[in-house]
Amino acid sequence: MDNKYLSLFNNCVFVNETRNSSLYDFKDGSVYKLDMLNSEVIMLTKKGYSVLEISKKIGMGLNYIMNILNNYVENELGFFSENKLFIEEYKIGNILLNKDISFNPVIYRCFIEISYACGLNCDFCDDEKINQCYLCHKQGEKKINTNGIKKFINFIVNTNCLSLVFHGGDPLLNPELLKEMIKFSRNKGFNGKIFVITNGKNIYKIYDYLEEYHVYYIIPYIDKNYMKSELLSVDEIIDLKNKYNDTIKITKLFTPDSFKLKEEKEIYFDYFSLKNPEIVYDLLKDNKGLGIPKVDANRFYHNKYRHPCLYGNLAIDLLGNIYPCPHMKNDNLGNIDENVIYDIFENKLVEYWNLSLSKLQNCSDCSLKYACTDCRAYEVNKHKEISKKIICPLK
Amino acid sequence: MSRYFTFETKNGNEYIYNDLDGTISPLEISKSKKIEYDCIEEFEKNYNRVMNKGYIANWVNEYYNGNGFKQLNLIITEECNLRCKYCSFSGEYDNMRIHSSNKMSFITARKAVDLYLKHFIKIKRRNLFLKPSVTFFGGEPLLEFELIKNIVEYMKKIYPTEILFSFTTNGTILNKEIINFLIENKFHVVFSLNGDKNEHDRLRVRKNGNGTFDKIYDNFKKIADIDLQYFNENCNVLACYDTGTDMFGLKDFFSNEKKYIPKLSRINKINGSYTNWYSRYSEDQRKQYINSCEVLKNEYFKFLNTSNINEETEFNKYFFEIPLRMLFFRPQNNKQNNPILPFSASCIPGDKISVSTAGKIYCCERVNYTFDIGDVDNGINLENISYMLIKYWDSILKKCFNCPMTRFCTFCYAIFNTKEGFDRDPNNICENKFKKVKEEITDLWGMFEDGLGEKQFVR
Repeated sequence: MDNKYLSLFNNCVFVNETRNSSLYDFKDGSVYKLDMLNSEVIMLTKKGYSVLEISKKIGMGLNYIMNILNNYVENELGFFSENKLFIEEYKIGNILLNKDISFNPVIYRCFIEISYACGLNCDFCDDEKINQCYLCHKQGEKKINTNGIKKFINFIVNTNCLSLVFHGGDPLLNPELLKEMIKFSRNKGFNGKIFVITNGKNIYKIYDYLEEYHVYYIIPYIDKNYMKSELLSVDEIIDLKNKYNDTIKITKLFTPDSFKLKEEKEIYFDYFSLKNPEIVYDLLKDNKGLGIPKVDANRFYHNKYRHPCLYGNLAIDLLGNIYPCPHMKNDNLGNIDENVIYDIFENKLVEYWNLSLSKLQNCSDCSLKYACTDCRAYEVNKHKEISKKIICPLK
Repeated sequence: MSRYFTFETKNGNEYIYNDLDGTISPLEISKSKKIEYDCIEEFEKNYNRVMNKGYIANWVNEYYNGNGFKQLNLIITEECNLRCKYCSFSGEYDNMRIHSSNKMSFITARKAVDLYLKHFIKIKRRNLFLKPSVTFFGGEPLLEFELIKNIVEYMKKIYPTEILFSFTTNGTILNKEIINFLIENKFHVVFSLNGDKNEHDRLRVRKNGNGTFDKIYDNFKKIADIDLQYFNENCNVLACYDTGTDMFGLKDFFSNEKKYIPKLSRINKINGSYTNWYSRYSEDQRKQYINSCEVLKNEYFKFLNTSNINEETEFNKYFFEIPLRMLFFRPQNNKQNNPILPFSASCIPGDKISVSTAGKIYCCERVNYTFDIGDVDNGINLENISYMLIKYWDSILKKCFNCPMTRFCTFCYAIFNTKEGFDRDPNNICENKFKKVKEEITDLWGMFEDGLGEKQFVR
């Protein structure tokens, strides 16, 4: 028994950084943050030490170490063997090729701003928000560069673009323009998903008008106990969902207080479902309710080499300016009228898409960086530095 | 054979490699899982489908909607000012052409460029990160410097943004004008340099038999003196070796950084297919070579276990680490979902296009002229591609369905092409490869068991 060795199954990847250590289990997407003792023990097992050797090295009783390791076996994270074995970490696809950004890149979300106006006056409209890309934002009125936006759409619909997101303001205030843009996209051969971010008040009026184009509506929702808002109430959203089923998606707007509201079950948080299949609240025992998504192998390796959110994003504003994200307005990559698309992709966008959290201050030494979601727009708008992270839900 | 193999490390542990998903696990663990390793049925289904008339042509045509045409290779001359003894075109290789005075005209080159860019722009619409890439081949491409200049000028005129230019050269023909042109157009240049003067001049010689090391070294100095940054960033060396190489000398030469030698980018073993090249060496020389490699390997493994990987020499990196890394990072847990080429490392014809001096299009600069896939006047010919691939299936892929290590395969058309079609030479080439891969995996896993971390091994 003394010379047993523990090996983690290959679906369990141990990430050991100076700040902390974590174990990613790709079997069900769980992420476990390890305390110092567990971290040390697992590190030694990875180095090929037997239970007895670990016990001596750490200076703790054999039974105590066995108890720790048994925990991993009982939870089907590892197994004991008589000899030192090497278990290769789970990999997916061609890792070397996947590191190259020009290998099969995908534009997941292309944000197209077509309005600044909104019929509502929510108190928090001007507040900076995390993941604001799926929210509306009312601004002063400016004339839209319709030709420029059409030129952009014409370009983008022939790429590997999976979704177009029309936003504002509230694009539903000008249904003719919205229809013109959507019709133009479909006529140019775009068969990906089309989303419209709206406060939802006018969906009843416009739904039939746009039905043939297969449009999804994203509606922001906030708990009115915590913020004064003219947005739709829970009941109104549920009515919409009942009437229009899957075409209604919801963005939950969190405030520091509403983080606590995880018992609020009646609304499914579609914001996350757009990017991640599932959102988990009690993944980390000491960090409940912070919205760490499950991490499968695809997501793990994606986050290892790419920014969790910026990769696959592109945005154009009302005037034809192009950005890596609709809310990173300081990072203007050029205007569509200046024929900059080639230059943006060949020279500029890669810096944003490849900005993995390993490159960020305060994240490089954190083992949870492959599970973390990160809103660069919020951070940049807050402290102007693209490579710095201040807002950390895991602290 | 079947689609798996087992191996036992020096510590006595048994593992199984499963070629269906590319994973390696301890034999004990995998015994508990039922895995179907035989794939004859699936292979036959695939084979029958591919043999159906028009299937390959339709598939490739569809594939071209968003893929292919990533690189244009222009074989601008078949002439060379050197007569390197092991050159593919030296007459040592039964399946390859020999040097000739054929060269490409500007009209042919322009047609090739037009054809390439027309398709490239279509592909770029699907992948906006791509930049057009043009590589000049020979013979010695710099014999046709005027043509290179004209092509570059023409392309820059008709294409709006950056184009990547490159070539491989013997490095003997360089002057101030050429160097400045290369710098101005950010050419990536790979120089053939086989090591120190003794080793280089053993095989890389002029028509009169004189060595070329001194001339190349002079030219390196010229480039570095004009623009050191360009020299360091855009120039590389490709080294070739064989049984007659003093491997310790090669290691020493590429281990110490030298101011006027560009960084190494590859070390290749001289090709042994369709040639009697290696019969020139005696059994003693062969043994000596194998022993030297063994000693170097043991030194490298010792280094890995005791030192910082970042202190690794260029030689070790290209001779040991990269080949081992390719094994370690084999594709895993993904489906090999290309029905027309499920096996071998061959690309889809047209992924890159190589144009001969006469304007015929080939799938690679390394293949011979047996199968053209079109020409610059009429473009890609899907029927030719179908014909070539059916030959490839019948001669090569038919035997791959029960290969135990398809995910490690590095062979492609260039290894198998003959003057009539495709074949294996020597006929046990795959078995030899399998033996080598198995040995390397066994060594590597043994080292991992002894505590070499994945992170330590991979930078």
